[in-house]
Amino acid sequence: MVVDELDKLHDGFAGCETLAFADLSTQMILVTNTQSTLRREALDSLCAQAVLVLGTNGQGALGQSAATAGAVATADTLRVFLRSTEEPNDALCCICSPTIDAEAFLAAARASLATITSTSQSGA
Amino acid sequence: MSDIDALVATLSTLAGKDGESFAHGARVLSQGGTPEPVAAILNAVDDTVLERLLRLDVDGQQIDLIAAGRRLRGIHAAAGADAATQALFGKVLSREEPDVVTAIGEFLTAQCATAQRVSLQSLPPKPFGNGGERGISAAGLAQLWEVGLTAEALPPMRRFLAANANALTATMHVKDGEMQGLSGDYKTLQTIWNQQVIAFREAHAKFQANADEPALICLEGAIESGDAIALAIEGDDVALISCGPEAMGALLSSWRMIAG
Repeated sequence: MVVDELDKLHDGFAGCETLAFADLSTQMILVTNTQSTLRREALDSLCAQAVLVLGTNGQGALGQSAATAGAVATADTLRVFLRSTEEPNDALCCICSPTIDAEAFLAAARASLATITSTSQSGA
Repeated sequence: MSDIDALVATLSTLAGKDGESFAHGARVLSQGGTPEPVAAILNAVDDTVLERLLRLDVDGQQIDLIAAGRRLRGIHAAAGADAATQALFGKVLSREEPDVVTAIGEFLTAQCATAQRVSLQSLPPKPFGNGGERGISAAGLAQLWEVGLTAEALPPMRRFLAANANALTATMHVKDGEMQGLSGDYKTLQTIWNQQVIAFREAHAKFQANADEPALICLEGAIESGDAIALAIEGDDVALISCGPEAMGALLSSWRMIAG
């Protein structure tokens, strides 16, 4: 299940705070990790940020085409947005501590999203 | 962290001067390239009167120096050195052997070239050379190695661009609306800047607690070459850059060290 994969990724990184699986076409968060305490308004905002950063329908707000991955680093937080390579409207939205190992987390998050997508497609 | 490590870290912090920071009990000499790492190391040598082993941690690489009387006597041991450089370890620096002095300077400079953090622990000395060989003063080495001990730090954006120059395929740097520099194949960046950056920043501001806070926004696969682009914002200092997609994680880490 998607939530299990999100929980597994969350548990693997001390600096990982919230993980959300989103549908960019409807701008909706479909599921979050179990321990997420974000309110609905905050999740909606996270999804809207993912839509802006990654773009939709092949078009991005910044760049020549929609991005496959995005990250926003500030002093307080690192937000990572990953688009599924199989289903471009599926995205993983992540809120992390700014001190997280960004390279390691990106690699693990990509693997998680690939697992989620393949599981969804196989109907498991 | 063990109890002893925790105690060392606490005592080091309590003994520190204002503005100093510590990591795992070691004093941070340079972070994100500020101050310039080799200058910071020489300043640490200049602060060392009694003979000590100065253990440097350069992004996880250990370098042990022997210093005394505000002089660097030499390198006791270090990781990451080739065989020719290792042959210099244990030798006391002398102006009569300029090749050795130059090689040691080049080694330290190379080790610190892209260092995000250099920290120092001052430890009891180990046997090194003959008692009569004093080494070379920090000020003398600064002159020989052409290092400015009091050089002012570059602004964060310039440090960020300099620290990641090897990973960037193009840059466009604008401060207070004035072009500061262009590099690489910047034409695509220029088009994006002219047509999209202002609107994007306005749209993205609502997701930030403070629209003026330093931020690095990276987008992978957003340009036709397959490169990633990133918008780095530090007040009125803004850079639009492109890099290989594999560089995104390293850029984020570098930004945190410099501007975070």
